[in-house]
Amino acid sequence: MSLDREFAVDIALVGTGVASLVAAQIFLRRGWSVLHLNPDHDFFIENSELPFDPSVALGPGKALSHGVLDSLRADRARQILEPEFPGSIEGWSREKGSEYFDPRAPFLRSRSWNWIGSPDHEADFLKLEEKGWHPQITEGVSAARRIPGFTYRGETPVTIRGLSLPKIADIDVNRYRNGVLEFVRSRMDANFLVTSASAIEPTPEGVRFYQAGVPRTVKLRQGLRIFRTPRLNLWCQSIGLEPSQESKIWEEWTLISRDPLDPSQLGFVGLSSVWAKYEGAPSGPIHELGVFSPVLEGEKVAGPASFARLGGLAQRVLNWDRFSVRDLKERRISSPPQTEPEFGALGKIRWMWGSDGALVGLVDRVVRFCSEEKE
Amino acid sequence: MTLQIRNGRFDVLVLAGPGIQRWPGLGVRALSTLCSDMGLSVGLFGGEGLRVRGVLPSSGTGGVAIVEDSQGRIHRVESRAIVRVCEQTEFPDPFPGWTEPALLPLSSALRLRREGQTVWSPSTAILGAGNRALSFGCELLEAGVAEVFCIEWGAAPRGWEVYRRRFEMLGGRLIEAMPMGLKKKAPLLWEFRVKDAIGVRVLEVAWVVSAGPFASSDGMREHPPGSCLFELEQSGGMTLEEDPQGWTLEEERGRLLGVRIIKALGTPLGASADRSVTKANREQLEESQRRARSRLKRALRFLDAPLDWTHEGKWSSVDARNRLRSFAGVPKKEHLVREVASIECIEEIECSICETACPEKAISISRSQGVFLNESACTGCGKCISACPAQVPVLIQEKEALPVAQITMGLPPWSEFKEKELVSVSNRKGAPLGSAKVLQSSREEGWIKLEVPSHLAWEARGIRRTRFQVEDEWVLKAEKTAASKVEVQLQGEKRMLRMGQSLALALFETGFARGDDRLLCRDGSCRRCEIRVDGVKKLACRTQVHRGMSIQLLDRSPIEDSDLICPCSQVRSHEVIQKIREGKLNSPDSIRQACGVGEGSCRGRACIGAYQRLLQAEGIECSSWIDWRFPWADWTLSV
Repeated sequence: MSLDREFAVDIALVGTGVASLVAAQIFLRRGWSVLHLNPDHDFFIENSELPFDPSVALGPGKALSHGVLDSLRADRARQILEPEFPGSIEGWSREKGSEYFDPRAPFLRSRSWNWIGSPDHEADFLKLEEKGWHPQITEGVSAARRIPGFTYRGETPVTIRGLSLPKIADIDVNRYRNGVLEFVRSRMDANFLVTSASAIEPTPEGVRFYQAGVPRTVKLRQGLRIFRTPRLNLWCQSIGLEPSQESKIWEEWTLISRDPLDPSQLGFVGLSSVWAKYEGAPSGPIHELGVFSPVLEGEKVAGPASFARLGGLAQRVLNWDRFSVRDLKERRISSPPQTEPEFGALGKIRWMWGSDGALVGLVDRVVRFCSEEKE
Repeated sequence: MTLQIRNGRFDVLVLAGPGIQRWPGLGVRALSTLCSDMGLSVGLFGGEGLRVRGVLPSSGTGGVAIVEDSQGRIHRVESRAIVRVCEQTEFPDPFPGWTEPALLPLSSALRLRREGQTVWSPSTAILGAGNRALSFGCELLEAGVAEVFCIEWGAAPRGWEVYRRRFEMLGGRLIEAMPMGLKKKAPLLWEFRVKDAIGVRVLEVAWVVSAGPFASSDGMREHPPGSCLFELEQSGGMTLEEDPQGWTLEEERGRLLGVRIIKALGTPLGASADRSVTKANREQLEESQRRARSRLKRALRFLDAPLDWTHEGKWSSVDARNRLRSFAGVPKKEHLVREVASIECIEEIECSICETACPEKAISISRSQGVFLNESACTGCGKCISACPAQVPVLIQEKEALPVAQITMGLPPWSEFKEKELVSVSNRKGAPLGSAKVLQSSREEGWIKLEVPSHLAWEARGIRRTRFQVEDEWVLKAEKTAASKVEVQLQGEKRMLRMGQSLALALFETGFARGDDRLLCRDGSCRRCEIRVDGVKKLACRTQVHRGMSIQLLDRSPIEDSDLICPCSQVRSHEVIQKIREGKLNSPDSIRQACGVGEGSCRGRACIGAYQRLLQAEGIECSSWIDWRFPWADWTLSV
């Protein structure tokens, strides 16, 4: 099928990452004809999708009141992710070889999340207990040991307190994205899954854009749907849509730990989160420690504050006298969607704010967004 | 202790990438001079004192470089344009056994040769036949290695004919073949299988040196397009003599890149628009660009029509002989009267070392005519012989009335000759021609004067050595170093290692090196050479040998898989191909993320060349791709 002449499809999606791909496969399942436009040259440039929401570091009580935690219960996360993924999603509790097992499938992990050093532990504990989350208050070395990377050689007493929540989910974003992308590509003609689309411009009847320097015009029956991420902000403003709320920058550091890390724990220390980083099922000792840290207002990426935070974490919390940096990625994420309406509309154009952040919540929002489309 | 951060800002930043040993190189100098002449502020970061950790690209153009100085302070330097200077990729495509420690990249082999005392005999194979490969081959042959093979392979760039001639004259062998497998036979002895036009040949070698690049490249690139983030390849060796072509390419590419950056940036940082590039500057820029392009074209021209010295039996073919005698660099009549130079460099190569070295200005090299010798001006001083890295020039005198002629040629460093001694001379392919009498030799000036039968005057261009000379030299060297050795425990066995030597080198010398040690970096940036010394984990490259130390190698089971493209992350080629085809992935970044190639501790230094060639074979354009992941190598910080 070619787009050389004017053509009509049911719906056009504009997006750079997982959200628009998931939406594409939902609409394809309905039997709609879909045109997907991505201004980037591939779907791996978008860096705003995360295995979990790092803003949870602010405390479990706040995360609960914002509804962030609800979708992250391991069983609930599976319910959200599985129907929208064209393949298997593996859990790490399954024994290898016992039944069909796809080693390249995205893994849904279930870890204990641990917050240390917050003054609100008691209040959060009661709130979580009421909701049936089975929290646990920990103290001293047993609290510190739940922070991946913590090293204790018995020199000084540990006086910290912590709050722990069991069975919270996170997932491999790259594998999930790749799985959905492969499926969508297999179902859509290459002319309708357009990357490097430029000068995208909505028209009263549809959308106009350039594909490899050639102008195309497509009529749309249902209209244009935009999955807004910080990468699309400039373009959105250029077509007259209101700018989105400010985005936040996070640094994702990968450090190398001398000792193997516990893959079943995830820790929140101050504004940073730390976890054993790996893809797929854990095999062999894990030494890569992921650290999410926010870049606060007035700070710069990899600036003095970043190094001070990282040095403080290594020295005062993990008890490391030195650390090795393996990787640093800058993640630009929209402000949490709960602070504004999740969806917006202008004529035949509808959009989803904050099509980024934690993958589970993101897929949940995409499903709700798509379910509002009338067949 | 807290980590100290300092901020800085430049128009243009030039950064030394991992593994860069010559800093600043010729290309960097040309680029930075041009940019600063145009009023741009230029920062050069590299060398021993300043270690560049990586670049964080900005969302628009340029980015932020993170640099650590020798006192552990971190410098955060912003810039509108960033150039990373990288080394050429040296590893070949995977073949069975390519992860074995016997396969060394050329940079590691050079270091092992110059700082270590390993055995290169009975023979050494070099993958690639470019100038640097041939030059290294000549170095081994001159040092007494009995057999050196240069294996021409795939689309690897070919070296100059003068280097090939010298390599063959010294006894090296050029083979056109494909590597098929590398297998350990004994300590420091490997079975290397190659397949040529006739069939599979088995070479017994001590080392296989991989002297890439194995695909031609422009040597400079920008990625993403329009981002002002550039990469410049350092193509020259450590010295000009090692690879004059590489130095020219590097210099002119640096100049071209400088022009490109100036045009992209225009106004210097903090300057008003009226300080932008003026008309006069623009003309100067255009001139620089034109000259650089023309020199680059000339430097690569010989590749289109390489010259092969053809022989009929032992003698040069009539064609080759006629071409030589009519060549402007060869004397026409003056050599019948006195001793004059003969510059037998027929190939149009971008090299002018002999022209610079001649005190009488008798040699001139022009773009239109190539080499020209002014016979009457030549005094026969022999400076051109010692200057030429390929030792092409000879001094020649034919005596019309006598049946003998006199030739002066480069003196091989292994040789000691007495006056009136008889030596065996060889032709340009290294085949023996006959005997010659030594008239005079000068080790300081590096030449030897021979009397040869007159029919050999235009044929004899090399001296053949005898086997006992090779053995003598090795025994002498071994005796000298035995005194400085100390006893250590290596894997529970008593071993003698040289005191104060780097352990990384010692592991290679004793045959205990692992595949992970091959990068042989000096600064611990690849962190692959981890060992246990007296029970404590250390890096072999950062640890020196001392008496009584106990060394344990960390247990890493070798992976034998010819399909393994990334040994660190254990990714196989077929997995990459499968991902590309299934997901229709179309950019190196997305494929890397999907497959995990180059995500291991070496950050792709062993596999990224093969990865790019694999993508090219799958039809994915990646010649201008640059991997901007931060940091460039694992970075250890103390708190």
